[in-house]
Amino acid sequence: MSPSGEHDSDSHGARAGERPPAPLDSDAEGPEGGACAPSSLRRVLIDEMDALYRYILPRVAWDANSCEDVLKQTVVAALRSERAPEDEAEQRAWVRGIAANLSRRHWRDRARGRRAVQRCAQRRGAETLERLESDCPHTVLQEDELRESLLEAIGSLGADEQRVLYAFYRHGRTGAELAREFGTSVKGIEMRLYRARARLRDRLRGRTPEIEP
Amino acid sequence: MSTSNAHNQHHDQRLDRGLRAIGEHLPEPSPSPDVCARLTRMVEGGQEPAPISKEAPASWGGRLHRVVGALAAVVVLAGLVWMVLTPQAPEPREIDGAGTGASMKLVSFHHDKCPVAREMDPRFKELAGRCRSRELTVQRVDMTAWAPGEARERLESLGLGSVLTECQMPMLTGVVMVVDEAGCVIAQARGGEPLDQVERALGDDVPESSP
Repeated sequence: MSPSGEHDSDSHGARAGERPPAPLDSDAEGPEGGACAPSSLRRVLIDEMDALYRYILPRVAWDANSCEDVLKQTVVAALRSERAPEDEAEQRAWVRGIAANLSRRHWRDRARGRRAVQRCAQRRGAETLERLESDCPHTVLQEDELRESLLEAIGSLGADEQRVLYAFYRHGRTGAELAREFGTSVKGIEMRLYRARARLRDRLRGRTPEIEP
Repeated sequence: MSTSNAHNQHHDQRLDRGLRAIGEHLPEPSPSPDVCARLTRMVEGGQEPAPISKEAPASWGGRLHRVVGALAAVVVLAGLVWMVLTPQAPEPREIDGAGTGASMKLVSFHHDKCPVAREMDPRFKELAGRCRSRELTVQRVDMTAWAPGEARERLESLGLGSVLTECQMPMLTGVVMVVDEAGCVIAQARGGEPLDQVERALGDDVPESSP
């Protein structure tokens, strides 16, 4: 498991340009499927599955069916590609690049895409943060746009960051338990949580999604 | 500590408090279990990934796949309707796989810190108590001390490796499922969800709960 916070997850889509992800046409690379995919990539794909889903969801305007479609296409494209990087951290970034490209392509196929994505980009991140830090953080969950804004920010975090956030805040796991699970110290977990919160705050503070319909 | 650091610390503490307050209501969307299982099988098994987009423009091969898929869905749906409408006639089962084959299993996945599991646990115990004298293997899998990455190995050692392909891993805690002789999950419920499907899958062996 790669340490969290070592790469900027939200820039994965942008970084995809440096190392082009797999071709989007699933028939373009021949009939052989994932048989040649390295085992580390398989591990990464399974490890990232939930995080990828949450990364894609805001990019397809919160449509669960489209999100699953793009997730499937991402996995297929990654398995079929012969250009997967060898390093695990690079593989994570590369897979997110594929997901970002496929999300963009998803909208190119649809006339309604521009409108929906513009709505996505107008989410109220700053207000979400303000409410989270207020005395009534629950109000974030009462408005769709704020809730989605929070989800969008969480989805842009790396898989490890998402995992530690959910385990600690949603599932009520203690620092000691997580330290055992992640093979680190309690201090290390606190540091990861701190970094995840800092990144979450950054995302909510006005970063718009890198979507170009 | 500089002013800026103090400012950051202050905001971090407030965000921390906000996230703690939201707690279990923090939304955690995930792919559906069947999609997850299918993708996991594809990734782990090295099988040839078929074009599976529902919406991308399809070739004739893709359209054929869809027609076959739609027909299969109709057949499966018809089968489900038939199963629901047909009176349950449980076959004789063996205990712990002795005799002619492995038995059906009633399995609970528990985690001490998972509120969903805590909700399910007493209900599972009550159900298991009703099944105790019956020919059914009851298993309570405590995942509290498991580390990430150990799940597959541990579940396989318990003879439950197949559930990983049928149920999404992060959702396992708090799940009660019925696993048939072939290792297929035939019914499941999580947290406070009704157990009627699970009871139906267990057939007539489950006596009515006392009022």
